[in-house]
Parts: sequence; C-alpha cells; structure tokens
Amino acid sequence: MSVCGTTTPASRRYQQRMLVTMSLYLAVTLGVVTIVKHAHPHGWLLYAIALVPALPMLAMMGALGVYLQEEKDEYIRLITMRSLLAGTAGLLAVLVVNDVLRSISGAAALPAFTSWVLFFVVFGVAQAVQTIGNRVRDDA
Amino acid sequence: MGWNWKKMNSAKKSLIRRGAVALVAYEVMWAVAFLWVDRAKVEGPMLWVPAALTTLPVVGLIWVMARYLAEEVDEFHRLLVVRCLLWGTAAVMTSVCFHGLLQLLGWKGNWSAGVELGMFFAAMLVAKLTYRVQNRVPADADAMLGSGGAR
Repeated sequence: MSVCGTTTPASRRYQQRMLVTMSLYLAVTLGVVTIVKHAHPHGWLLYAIALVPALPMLAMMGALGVYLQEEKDEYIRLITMRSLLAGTAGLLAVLVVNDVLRSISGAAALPAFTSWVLFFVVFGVAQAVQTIGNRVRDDA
Repeated sequence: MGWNWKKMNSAKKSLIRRGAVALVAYEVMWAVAFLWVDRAKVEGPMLWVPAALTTLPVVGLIWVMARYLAEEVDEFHRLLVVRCLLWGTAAVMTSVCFHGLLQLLGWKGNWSAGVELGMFFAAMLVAKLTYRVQNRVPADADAMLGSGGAR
C-alpha cells in the first residue's frame, strides 16, 4: 500500500499478502465454477463449495487487519482507517438500497462479486483522494 | 471489566448515543419508506428515492464510527473498534459472495432482504465480545493498577 508516495516495510508485506490472497481467490473461484459445471453438485455439497471462495476474501480482510497492526506510521494508519470506513460505508449504502428495492419491488439481489469490487474500489478512491488532498508541495 | 456507563470515556458515550440515534433513524426510515410506497403507489425510478433515503442512517452510522475514531484517545480501544469493523465488513462480503455464487451456480432460492446488514452487526458484536473476553484483566490486576502497584 503506497500512501503519499511512501512505502513502509509493513505496506510491502501487505502488498505481498494481498497479491497471494487475490491470486488464490481467482484460482479458487475458477476451480469452483469448473467443479460445479462438470460434477453438478447440489444440496449441502453445493453450499459448501459456494463457501470456499469466501475464505480468500476473509484472508484479504485479515491481511488488512494485520497491516493496521503492523504499520508504525500513525498518519498512514489513519488514512487506511478512514479508507476502510469509506469502503464499508459505500458497501453498506449499496446493500441497503438493494435491500429496500428487493423488499418493495422484487428487484434481484446483488451479483456475487459486487461486494468485493465495490469495497476495494471505494477504499482505493478514498485513499487516492486523501493522498491528493494532503499533498505537500516540494517548496513547502 | 463490566459494562459501566459511569466509567466510560466521553468518546464511547457519544458513540453509543449517536449509534442509537442512527439505528432508530434507520428503523423509522425503513417504516416510512414502506408506508410511502404502499400508500402513494410509487413505481419505476421513483422507487430509488425511498431506497436512497433509507441509506442515510446507515451512512450516518459509519460517520458516527469515524467521529468515535477521531475522538477516542485510547489507541488500543481504537484498534479494537477498527478490528470489529473489519470483521463486520468481512461478514458482509462473505455473505454477498456466498449468496451470489450460489445463484450463479444454479441455486433457485433467495435470501430475505436485510440478512447482510444483520450479518454486519452480528459479526461486529461477536468480535467485540471475543476481544473483551480475550483481553480481560483479572479483578486483582485491576485493583493493583488502580493503586499504582503494577505496571
């Protein structure tokens, strides 16, 4: 994670962990879809298989938690916390709109990967906005 | 280590007060949205208005947490709240992924609305209780700290 153009040892470790978990997530998701396409499982086995891609997703959030604990720079930690709040707010806002629309007009539920994409997009945008907003000019 | 209002710092008291207001506002907005749609027979793009209005208290709740994180002077408590938030977000992401993937894989069922939000609060609560139990200080240690006997 690079905030204000700086990388710390903790952020490098965070990037490595995220790279591993994201690759794992893609591999697991593709694996699950392939298995279901060929084996056609149903019942509890289908539930169990659908739960597997959530594990790398949990690992991603775990990596974020570990990063917040390891990061020594108070300012970078604050920016990450704010971005986390923004990501959660964006995710919950979209979910509540979808919940209300589902309840009152029978709209469809959100697609499988919306939450993950939405959270990390808002997280990244929040981080970029804060970084640009707090930029210090060279002469300052 | 019990729940004692008098011993709480002002940041935590504000969090509880504002959080309660946000949750009550959410319930009220939800009821108002339903009544409005039912009575006025709202249809089409206008349905987005009650849906968006119901979102405001939820965004307000996140703002309440942001205010708490800014006001809290105890670094440890701040870290615990952020961890609880991470657990809540992870629960939401997991449930949306699980539900969406099940439907993608051919499941015909549908979860009722509000399950994900419920998962968020449940995961936050479980994380908070777990951290409280995990970081419990025995009563005699509390007394020693109070008298300045142990550091």
